[in-house]
Amino acid sequence: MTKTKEEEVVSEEVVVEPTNKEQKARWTAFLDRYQAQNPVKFAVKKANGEFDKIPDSFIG
Amino acid sequence: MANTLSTYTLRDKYFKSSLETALRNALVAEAICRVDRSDLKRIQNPYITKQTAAIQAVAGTYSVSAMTTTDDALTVSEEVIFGTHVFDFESVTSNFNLAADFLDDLANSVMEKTDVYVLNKLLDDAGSSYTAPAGGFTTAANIPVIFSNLISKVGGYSSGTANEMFVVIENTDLVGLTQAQVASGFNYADMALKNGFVGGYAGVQIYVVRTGTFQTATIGTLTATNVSHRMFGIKKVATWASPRGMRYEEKGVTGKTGKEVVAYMYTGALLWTPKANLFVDIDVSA
Repeated sequence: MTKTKEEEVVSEEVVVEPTNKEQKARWTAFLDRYQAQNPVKFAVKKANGEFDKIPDSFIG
Repeated sequence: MANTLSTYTLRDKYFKSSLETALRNALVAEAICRVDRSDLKRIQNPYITKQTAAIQAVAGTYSVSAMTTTDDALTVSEEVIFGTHVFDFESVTSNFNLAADFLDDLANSVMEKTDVYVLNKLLDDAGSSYTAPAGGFTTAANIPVIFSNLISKVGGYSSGTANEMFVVIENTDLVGLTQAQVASGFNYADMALKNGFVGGYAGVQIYVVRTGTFQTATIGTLTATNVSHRMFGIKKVATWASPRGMRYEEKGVTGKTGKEVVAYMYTGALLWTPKANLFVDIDVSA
């Protein structure tokens, strides 16, 4: 069954992951602190993509 | 037909004279660090920047170089602390010495948190790095590869492989390591899991901590980004300062019967800058 244009739009909205602004803000602040504390390792880990995803265990 | 007996008709005994405790984590910081318990705020260790001597045909001449020294200091920056209150009505009617048993548990909790801080601090100080193959320590085939790479990182230094090497892994890493040890014919079966020490591999002493010890989190004043990382290094190179060790107080407080008990420890840890490359930050995220 072909979907109507309206149905497709609705399904796309459902797929979008909810963003946790508060957690992202904590993560950004956390990384800023780490950059100030250890700029050399921060650069290495950032280049390795370690900070692209917030770890599940991160509570800030 | 059975008799109907009340609760206090039947005989009980207590298994222990003290309260049983929850499972406790292995503590490894003291085993891998040089420990300083003197009551000082800072430990200074200035160092000479490495110089390279000249070699030439015999001539009797030389150029004069300037030497550079740099300050390096370990600061006791953290306080790990935990307290509770035992009311008089609780201790009077208890079968156990509640203040003593609680204090023992508080002290252990303080020590566990201190261990987490020290391990994460030293891992952040590590000057070398190594990315383990996919599967990390959980894949048996990786073990010889990982250990050989780690040893090569510290080889050739006067304070390198000739001294005691260690690696700190989490318990979930034991899966591959144990398989590798057994397959290699190591005499492992009799080795007891004591203080996190589970024997060795290729001359490296292996210490095991619980999963979640290496953290991406704020630990006191330390911002640690160590989840999916493990630590390799040379023993007694890093320093852990703990002025006067574990401290505790037991005191009466206003407005309450009984005693308040608190356990606490001051702590700081540092991998000295000139020795930083003797510690390897192992990335096991792949």
